[in-house]
Amino acid sequence: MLDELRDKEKDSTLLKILLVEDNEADIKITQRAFAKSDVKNNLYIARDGEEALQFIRHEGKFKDKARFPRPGLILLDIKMPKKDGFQVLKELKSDPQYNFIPVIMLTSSKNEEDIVKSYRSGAASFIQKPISYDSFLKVVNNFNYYWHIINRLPNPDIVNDKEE
Amino acid sequence: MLKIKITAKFIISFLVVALIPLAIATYISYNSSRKALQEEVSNSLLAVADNKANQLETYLNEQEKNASTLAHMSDTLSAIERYNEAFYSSEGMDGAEYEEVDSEFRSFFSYYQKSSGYDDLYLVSPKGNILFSVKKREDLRSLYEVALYEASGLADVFIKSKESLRIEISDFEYSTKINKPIVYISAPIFKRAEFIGAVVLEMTNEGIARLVKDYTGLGETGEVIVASDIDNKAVVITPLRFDEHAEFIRKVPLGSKVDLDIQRAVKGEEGIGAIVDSRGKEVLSVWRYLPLFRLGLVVKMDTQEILASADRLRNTLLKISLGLLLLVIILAVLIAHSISSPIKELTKVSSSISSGNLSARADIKANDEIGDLAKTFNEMTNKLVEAKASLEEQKGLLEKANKELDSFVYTASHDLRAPLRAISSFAAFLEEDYQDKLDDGGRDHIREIKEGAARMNRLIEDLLALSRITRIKNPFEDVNMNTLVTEVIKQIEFDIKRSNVEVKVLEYLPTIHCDRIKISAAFLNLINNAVKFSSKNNKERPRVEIGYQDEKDAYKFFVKDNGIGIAPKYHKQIFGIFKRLHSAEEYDGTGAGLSIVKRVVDDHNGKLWIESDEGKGAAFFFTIPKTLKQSKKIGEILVKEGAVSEEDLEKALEKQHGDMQPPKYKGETKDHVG
Repeated sequence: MLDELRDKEKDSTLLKILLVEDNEADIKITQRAFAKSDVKNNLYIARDGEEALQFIRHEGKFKDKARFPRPGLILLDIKMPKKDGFQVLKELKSDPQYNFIPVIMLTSSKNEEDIVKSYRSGAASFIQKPISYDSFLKVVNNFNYYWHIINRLPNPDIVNDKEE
Repeated sequence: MLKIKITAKFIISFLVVALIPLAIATYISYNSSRKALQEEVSNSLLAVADNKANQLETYLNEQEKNASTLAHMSDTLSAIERYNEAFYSSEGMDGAEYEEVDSEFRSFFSYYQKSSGYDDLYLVSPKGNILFSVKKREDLRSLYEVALYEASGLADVFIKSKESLRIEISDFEYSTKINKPIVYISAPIFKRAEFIGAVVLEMTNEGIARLVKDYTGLGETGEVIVASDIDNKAVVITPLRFDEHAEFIRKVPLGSKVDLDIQRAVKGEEGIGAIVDSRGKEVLSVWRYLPLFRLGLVVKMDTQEILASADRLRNTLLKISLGLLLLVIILAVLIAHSISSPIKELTKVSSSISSGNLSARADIKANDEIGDLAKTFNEMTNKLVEAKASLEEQKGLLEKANKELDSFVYTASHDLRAPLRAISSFAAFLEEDYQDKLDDGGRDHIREIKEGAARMNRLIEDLLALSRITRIKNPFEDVNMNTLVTEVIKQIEFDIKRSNVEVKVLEYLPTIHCDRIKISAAFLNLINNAVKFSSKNNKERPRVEIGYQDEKDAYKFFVKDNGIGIAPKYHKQIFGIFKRLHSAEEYDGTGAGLSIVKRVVDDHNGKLWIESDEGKGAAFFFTIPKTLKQSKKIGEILVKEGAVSEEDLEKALEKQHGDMQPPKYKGETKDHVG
């Protein structure tokens, strides 16, 4: 297992994750937790829903495909200005070009309504951000371990090439 | 029970009030008029009878007197002497001597017979030979001979008067010669006290019949009968009012059962009474006796006629009664209708209102108590509409408040936590990044920040839990309390073991109809509290006991501990939200637990209380009403709110199943709280 993990770390195609989050503090906490995680990832940030969609579609300031590659996984907050998490989720899932990208909801609430709505809209997972940093770190570790090591994801670039 | 309609009641009471006195009055007046009539008729009958008897007696006396006078006349005397001589001479009646005498006296007697109206006049010799007859009855030479061979009134009466030497009167007999009843009056003739013969008057019944024929004062059916006792039969001797040919044809055998009046009269009795005559009709009859001619006189009238006017009165009264009866019934129906129709209208309107049509109003314009009732009823309905409107308004406000609360809960769960996470996390970063530069005091502060944030998070969690328990209604179901309590204990097994608390379920708990999630939360909080507060018992092993008592209408559950206990003065406040009696350092927790328990028990219409004293442990009790009653209560609320119909509720209660649960709030979490 550890060998495999090391192999992945060496790999230039580390899993690219897009974090969609408006709260600066939460961005910093998440970045730090991912940095500290046993499994390394490339974490990109979008600060609201619109930015997230632009990032994924290589629009606006995210035109540079090399600097802003298409993510293999999206971490999506729900409460955000401009476009909230659900709108982003809906637009992504209704677009055949991007609907294969797993979207994981990462949010403060554990509101049942939100959970149901997320899965209905096509979310792959729903994670509540714990209050304490230690707990959050544990969550991030587990997250990475699952999504990066255990789970198999499609290569976003290959999918798109073939489709296009 | 038999339901009598108002109309029927009115008719019955009107009939009782009006008809009973009417019937009594009718009966009394009919009876008294009948009596009076009877009396009056009796009196008039008596008068008629006495008058008739007097007239007849006078007439008959006159006849006797006539005979007597005739017998004493000198002409008669010399005539009988002369006829006697001539009759007994050698040539007899055919001789010249008889002819001479006859020519001398015949005109006298003939004149007398004609002028006095007698049928015949005889002179009879002492030996019984008929010396003279106006009508020349030559066949009757010797009355003795006649008497020997045939019953002749003439012979009989002569023999009797010869023997008694007095005027004798025969019974009536029917003369076949003249076809009339006749009677003989025989008067003896004396010459110097010597019996020298008799003069006999033959008289028809015409004189009597003439007197009898006068029916004045006898109405339509009045009858006068004159009869004589002949051969043990009361024989009618005059024509009757309704039978011209009754003479010697109508005969009443003495001792028979009809015409007792006639029988009594001929036997010499006098009297008055109601009897049945030969026609089978009841009559009022007066009977008298005329001794001189041994005649019975009966004057009678049909009872029917006598009472006819009484009957007419009765019929009139009956007709009036019937009319009144009809009037009473019509009146009763009208009055009952005037009362019952507004009531029916009110009933209709109120049932229309109760079935939801609040715009229905009673349209009754009566200007009486019923009108007032209708007015009040309509006012009440208006108030009802207002009350309903204000209720709807409040319901709307409540819904709005609930929505606001929902949004608050959402905000709280999301927005409040983000800064909390920031505080907690950045404190952790501080600790990590500046490890070398921090002394123990600094690290302590950071730890305090982290703990404070964690505590704040718990408070938020509890607040949310409490808010959720208040708002969310889960379906009621039959829940085995034994299983539920066991599961709750398992949830906090770690704490129980760590605190070395002995948790014991004292008996097998019942199955109750309840909100499983909420009751579970209540037990969790109570057991958790009990474990927490008994854990620091230094004298004996911490112990928590769970049990129940089956009370009549409810199950009473309890959770007891041998912990620090609570002084009675605090008993009331401990159920308030975030009320704590101890510092968080001593016993952790936010103080929301008992508030949650209180809400849960309230939701089940139960009661929650504590029995405890300082240092003596605490026992928490709560009751849950038994299934049927409870679901009934909820059902009643639903019916009141119009969520279900009463029939549906009854059906559901019959099934005793929890179908009638309040609707579950859409999208709310069903997960565990506490």
